Amino acid sequence: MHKASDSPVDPRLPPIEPATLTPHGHCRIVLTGIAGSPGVAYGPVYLHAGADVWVDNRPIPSEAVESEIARFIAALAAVVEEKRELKRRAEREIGTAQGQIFESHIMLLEDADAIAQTVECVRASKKNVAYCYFVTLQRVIDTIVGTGSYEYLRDRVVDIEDVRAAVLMKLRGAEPQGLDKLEDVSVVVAHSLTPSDTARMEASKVVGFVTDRGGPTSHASILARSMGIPAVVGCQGASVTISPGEMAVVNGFTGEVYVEPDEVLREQIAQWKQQLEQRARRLLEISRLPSQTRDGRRIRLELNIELDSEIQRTAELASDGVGLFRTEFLFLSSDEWPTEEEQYAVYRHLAEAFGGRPVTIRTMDIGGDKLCRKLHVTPEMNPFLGWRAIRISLAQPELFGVQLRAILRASAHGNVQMMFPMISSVEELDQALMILGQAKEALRRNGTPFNDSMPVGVMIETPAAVMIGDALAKKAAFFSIGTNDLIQYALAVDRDNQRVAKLFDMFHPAVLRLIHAAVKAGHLARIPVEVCGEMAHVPLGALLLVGLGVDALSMAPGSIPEIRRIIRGITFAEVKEVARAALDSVSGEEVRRNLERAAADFGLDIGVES
Amino acid sequence: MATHQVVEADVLVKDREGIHLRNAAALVRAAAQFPKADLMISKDGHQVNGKSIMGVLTLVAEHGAQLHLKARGEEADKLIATLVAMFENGTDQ
Repeated sequence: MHKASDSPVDPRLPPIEPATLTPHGHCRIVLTGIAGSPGVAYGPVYLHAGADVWVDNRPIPSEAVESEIARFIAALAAVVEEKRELKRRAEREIGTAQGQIFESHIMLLEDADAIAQTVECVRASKKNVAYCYFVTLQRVIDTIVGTGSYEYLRDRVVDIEDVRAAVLMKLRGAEPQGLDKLEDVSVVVAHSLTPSDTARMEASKVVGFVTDRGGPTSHASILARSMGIPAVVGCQGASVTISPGEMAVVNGFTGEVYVEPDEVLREQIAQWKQQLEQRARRLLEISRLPSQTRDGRRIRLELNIELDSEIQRTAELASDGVGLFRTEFLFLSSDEWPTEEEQYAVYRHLAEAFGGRPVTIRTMDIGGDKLCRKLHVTPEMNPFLGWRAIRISLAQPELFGVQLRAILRASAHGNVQMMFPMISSVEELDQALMILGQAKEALRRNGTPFNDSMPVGVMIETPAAVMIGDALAKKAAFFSIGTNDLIQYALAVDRDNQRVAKLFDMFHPAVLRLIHAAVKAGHLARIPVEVCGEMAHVPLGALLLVGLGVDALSMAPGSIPEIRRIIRGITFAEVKEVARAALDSVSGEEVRRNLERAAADFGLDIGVES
Repeated sequence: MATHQVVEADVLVKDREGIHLRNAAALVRAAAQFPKADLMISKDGHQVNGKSIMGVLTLVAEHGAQLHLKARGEEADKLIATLVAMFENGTDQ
């Protein structure tokens, strides 16, 4: 392949791989999971007690029965006290609704039946009280789970499990901290992390995540990438194998965790971290250069972000704006719907922080794996094929109107764009645009300023949207392809189901043809086409997307420098050829091999993160 | 003094979300205002202590569920009246 030699900056970097790394034999144990977010972290473990709490079942001597019961009563009282404090704090900082949850927790703790049954179990079976409390509440949970439908119950059972976990931890003498009161910089190890766990987390204290469950596109992974911290997910048994206070290394490149490293391994890790920091500094240099291919095709690089607290920090990075501002957090982090004013404040902050650069706000995409207590109360067999995203918004026009008015008002303060998620028919788009029209009308009546020509785009996430791309393009100001959903719907693969996750292949020719068709439909209507899915931040994926003609790539902030480096190392003419060949390939494997060869021909070293 | 009066009522769960943690807590708290009366709640033959939040949760009372309330003891009538009013207005207040 012909190599252009006009690249002003050498795209080569210090390698991602460590010079030497010999974890085996140099730590207590090596755990293997799935790489959720790249990077390497080292720190003391904070074990976040989730739903599954380990409990031992052991006999106690008769004379210890009464003291065991007294220990239990004291533990209950101590946990009640903690919940009272949480309640006060929640009421002060979040609102009374959040406080009510803790009030309910206190009632669960003080439930006379549960206490009586536990005490009776200790007396009758002469078993340790932790075990007795565990089985008493397990009976409650089993009754609930056995009677009702899963979706209905999940939210109810979670609170009982929460309370049980707190008591069991107290009995073990462990301090039940929440992620909101992490005191030291820690590696957070958890069975799973829910959006509400992470919404309350003190982000500056977390250097890495390890979770038993989840995949590369689960909530914990996405959040870790957006925070720029390493994560290992799907690491089965991690939360019961690693103890609080142990030291752990999170290898977010390979998906490994090294528990209690010895001096040799610690030294290797320290050197590796230095090497990665050097690399990061080099990437920063590159980030000051425009993101264009060697033959001059400019590719916009934008950010995927979702938290108000991320805005300031990410606005300072070199990027072309925000390609995806997720709004689910606003809706999921509290029991009350966010008001127009609350939303407006966040969107306005976003618009102002990015100055003239475009920021694209996606209307709420609740559903699928982001279930909401208030909406998803009836069971869904197939949440990803169910009531989610625009379908909810259209069914709740008032709630939708509140969000649209907030976005419109923010459009008076910067370069705001908006897009609708999960569109699968023209009627849906028409309906959404009609409600948008009503929102504009309402603002106009009040004399509230907004940008009447705010660009409104459509997310292409379903094969249906691709097939009717020509019709959608006539009514949209831009397309934004959400590759995660598009892949799972096209290939019928649940990306978080570990048994079929292998089949979730972004290089599957069917996926590539869908993306190609969406790009063609957009460009025929002269609207830009952007990709905001995970594929955009994978080096080989980005290379291919550029070849397919995509105009902009949007990704987690941490991936921008690396992708900028990739783009500056390729030529559009050549990746177009690579993409053309990929469309006619027979397998994702073949595509991947060809992409690797192309990257090597460009002289690009592609790290293990792909 | 009607110490051992028994008062019963049938109620319908009108809340769209059914009985969840928060309104179960509200029900139990309301019942606790009548300390000298017992309260049993049953659904489809499954009977629980209506003064225990765990008990109420195990009813798994979804939207549209029929519940039978049965109170016994002092102020049983007031207890039932209070709960019936709560179910009438929707328990999630």
